[in-house]
Amino acid sequence: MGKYIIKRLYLMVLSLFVIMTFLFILIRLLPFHVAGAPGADNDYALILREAYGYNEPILVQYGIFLWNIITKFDWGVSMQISWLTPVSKVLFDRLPSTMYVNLFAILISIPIGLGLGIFAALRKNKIEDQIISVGVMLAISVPSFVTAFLLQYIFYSKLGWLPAIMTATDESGWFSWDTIKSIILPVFSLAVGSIAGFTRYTRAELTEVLTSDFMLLARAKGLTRTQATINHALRNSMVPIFPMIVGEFISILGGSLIIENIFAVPGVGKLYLTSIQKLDYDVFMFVSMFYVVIGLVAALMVDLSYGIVDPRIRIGGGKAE
Amino acid sequence: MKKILKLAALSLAVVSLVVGCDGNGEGVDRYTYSTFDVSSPKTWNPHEWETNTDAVIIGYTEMGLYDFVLNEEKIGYDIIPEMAAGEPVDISDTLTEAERTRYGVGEGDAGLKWQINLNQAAKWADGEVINADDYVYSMAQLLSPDILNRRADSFYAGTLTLGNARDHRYGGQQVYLNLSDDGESIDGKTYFSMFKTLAFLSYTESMADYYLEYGADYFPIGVAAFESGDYGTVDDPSMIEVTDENSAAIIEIVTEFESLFGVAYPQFSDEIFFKLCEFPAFAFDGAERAVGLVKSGDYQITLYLAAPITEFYLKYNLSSNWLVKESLYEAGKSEVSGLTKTNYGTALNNYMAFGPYKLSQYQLDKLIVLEKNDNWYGYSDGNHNGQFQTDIIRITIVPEHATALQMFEKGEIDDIGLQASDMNKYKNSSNLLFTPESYTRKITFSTDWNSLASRQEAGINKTILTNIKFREAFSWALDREDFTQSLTSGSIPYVVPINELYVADPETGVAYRNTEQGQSVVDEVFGDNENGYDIAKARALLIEAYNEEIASSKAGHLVSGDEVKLTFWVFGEDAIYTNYASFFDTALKALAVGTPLEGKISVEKQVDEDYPDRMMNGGADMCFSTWGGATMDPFGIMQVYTDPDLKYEYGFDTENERLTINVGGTDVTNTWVDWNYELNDGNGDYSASKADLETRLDILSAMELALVQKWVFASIYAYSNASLYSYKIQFGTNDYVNLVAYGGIRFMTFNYDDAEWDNYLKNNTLDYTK
Repeated sequence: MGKYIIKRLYLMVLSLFVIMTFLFILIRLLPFHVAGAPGADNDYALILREAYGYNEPILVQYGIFLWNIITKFDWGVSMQISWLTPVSKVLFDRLPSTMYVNLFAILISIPIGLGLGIFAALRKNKIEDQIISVGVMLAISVPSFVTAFLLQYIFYSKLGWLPAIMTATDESGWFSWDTIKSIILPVFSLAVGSIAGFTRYTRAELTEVLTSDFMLLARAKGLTRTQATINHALRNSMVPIFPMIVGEFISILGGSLIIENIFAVPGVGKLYLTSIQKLDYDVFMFVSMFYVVIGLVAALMVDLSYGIVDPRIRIGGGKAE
Repeated sequence: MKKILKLAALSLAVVSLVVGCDGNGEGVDRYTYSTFDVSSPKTWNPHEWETNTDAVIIGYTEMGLYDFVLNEEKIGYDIIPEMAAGEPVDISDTLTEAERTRYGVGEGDAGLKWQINLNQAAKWADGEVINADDYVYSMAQLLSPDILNRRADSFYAGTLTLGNARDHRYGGQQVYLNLSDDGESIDGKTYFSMFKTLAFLSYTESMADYYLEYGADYFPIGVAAFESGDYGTVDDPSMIEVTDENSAAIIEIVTEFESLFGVAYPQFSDEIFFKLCEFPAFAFDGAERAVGLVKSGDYQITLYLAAPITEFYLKYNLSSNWLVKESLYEAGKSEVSGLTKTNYGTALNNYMAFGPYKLSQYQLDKLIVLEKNDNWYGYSDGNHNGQFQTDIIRITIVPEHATALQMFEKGEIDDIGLQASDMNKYKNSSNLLFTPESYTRKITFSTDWNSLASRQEAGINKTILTNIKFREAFSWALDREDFTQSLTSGSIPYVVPINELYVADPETGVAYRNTEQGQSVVDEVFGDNENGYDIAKARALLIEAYNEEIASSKAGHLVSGDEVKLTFWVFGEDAIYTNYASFFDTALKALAVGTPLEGKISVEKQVDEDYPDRMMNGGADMCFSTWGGATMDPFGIMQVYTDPDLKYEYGFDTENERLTINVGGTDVTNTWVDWNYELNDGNGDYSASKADLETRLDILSAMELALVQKWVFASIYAYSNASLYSYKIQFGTNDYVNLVAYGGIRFMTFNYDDAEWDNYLKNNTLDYTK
């Protein structure tokens, strides 16, 4: 297992390096942002470009870039979003908002998703199951921005029960009722897809397990249906679902581009979108790498979690004797 | 259990009491203006800001030496001293030779040396006084060659040119300057670059940008040169020396580029050919050579200028300020590869206000809150009574328009710009405001018989466009109100080419359109019909035009039974262009009802990305043409209607057609080109320096009237952005005034204080559709 983790970590770093290299080259090939307006000094942008090493050959630029990361963890500064602020600060300042909203979304989606999935599996092919299945299909097929605008329109504009956007935490604090109330809509907009995913997987897995021979044996031994479901069926059906949960938790760090924009959540997703719109290349590079790291770590954790849920699964072992 | 419930109820009551007693105090009226922006500013350092969003905070927290304010009648502006203690005094007569040499003062004996007394009551938001040292320090930083601030050229590239400012800013550097700029070439060579952003492309694009955007189909020569790398690359946009070997090739590149615009822009060659100059470094206040901003008293500064300036333009340029707080500016400095930069104005704690408001809260990408700056002199000097009623300004960051619109409808924000799709819902709102732009959009007609006839086929006629009555009928058949409401986001129906943003007299701000001369043009042609739509009149004109054309003996004239098919040329295939063409098609079909052309007239959309060039060269029947800009000079816009290289109206021979204008009781006849020369060239008989304003206005209005009555174009609308404001607030005026808009935060008043507004919202549903 240890060997496997080391190997995976090595591969992860390698993947990271390859992606970073490609990203760096592609980004540096893009035209530099030389915005100007009557009355503004356009030479200034070109001089800055030189000062930041953009005029060096691309390999030299990459060398400088790597050296700055290794020696100072300096990924550059924001030129368009937050003037000359280190990009790491630009991102980490926004991380709490993203984590805050995503954490609530996951805390809601796991129990609801699992609960609905279990209920649907137990009531397989009954009206309740069919209603849930229709709901799941709708939640999966309707784009998240439609869901978000719909929720906003109903609960803010029409009913007036909830705020349209997330309130400023500097003003109301992270855990005030005002703030919590203001994230209900983004949280639910984010959770809808996850709930549907968990429900679908849980129902599918549990339905299969419930018809297994060992379940018949469990019932034959005298266990009640509830006991058999909880102690045997549910645990077995968790093998593919648990890694999903692990992946969801890691993705807490990554914001949703669309939802954060609609509900004005000052998070990573919105930052990513802004960096593209404003051509803030260093920010775009850093946020991209941040997402890459999240993706790679999530993949690793998901793989490792299989072994935790089902000890029969051995990862990285040699050929079976 | 009952005890627990009682305890819980008691706790709730206590909490409610605590929440109710917030620090705002009971009974104090508080006025909050809530607005929004789509993102946070990247910096509000007055030396570095770039976008409108960047300028939002500065607009509330800083004050110029002079400010433009809504005048008492609310139809123009006054210019008042703010951070200055009085009017600037032209003391050019005291200039000595030593001063001229030291400060690089320009030629002349007026408008070159100005003395300004500073407002001694001015303080930073922390209570420290602002004196002449602050102004000198801030200017030295702004122009520092070590910092290279983005806004440095505000003091050497525009109408206000501080002596030696440019040379100090470039000190110690070799710089490529345009050929016509002041400065000695160090090597006598000429250089060429296709990577410099060009003024006539609004400084946003270079030749290389066009090559990347449009490719070899449009610029075979330029793109080949660009791709060869011989003229630099995007990563290395170096200057290329023009030599005997490459000069012919460069001329070919330039000629091809010019041909896109159909003209050799007057400034074009100057913008792409350069000379290399070297600027020796010298101190901001050097003994031999210094920048022309000097402390002449603790509360007095003197400006030495490289070029003379009038008092109006001096105050105009000084209506924004360059002050920065030294301690914070210095603390924020850091080195980037030998370049010094500061983070001044990027966070709550590294910026200091000196205007009516100060920053009290700043959460990146979320919220900006400003509150009254108690140390601002204006709240106690007695000169600002009744102004700045707003206590708090809340700017929420809301990236999505749909979200912001819902928040507006719920009373959470007080104003919002509308999009075209919103207009149908809010077009009748009493809270609608229109912010005009200088651009007027017109449908321009080709009036050249030969080119129109050459595109005709059997049974299809186009030459009817040369008939002035037909074109007039076309214009009267356009319901401009319908057009603007259905196809624009708040633009205003307009029947003449110069719109209300053009200022006749900068000193008073009076719009040309509001002058007697400007108004007479509209009155004479359209009377009260500002929509320019009269279908009965249009049909009568169409019948007359039809009869005249049928009776014509020219080859290619309209014959009975012909169908009139006109092509309307547009940039692309987007739906909006189809809608434009469809509107004109419908209008013409409606016009023809009951006439011999009923069912025999149509407009068809044709696409060409280069349609202006096509129109200017006679290859199109009709297209949109739009002109604007330079709103302080309504006379100058005549150039685009008279210059053969600029005008869209093919067939209108401005070089030979003559126009007689009565000037001061005498009839004067000139060609259209010559009239433009006489009015706008420095040597012209009726230029600003040779003729009085009234005479110039008489000529301008006569030219505009004659243009309108030629019907070579039909003005349709003046560009304008529509916005809604809430029932809570009231602007100083609801009629847009140039340079001061609706009066700004200075004249904003409130119909409800915050508590009343909250109460109103609880008991009422807002409806902005009426």
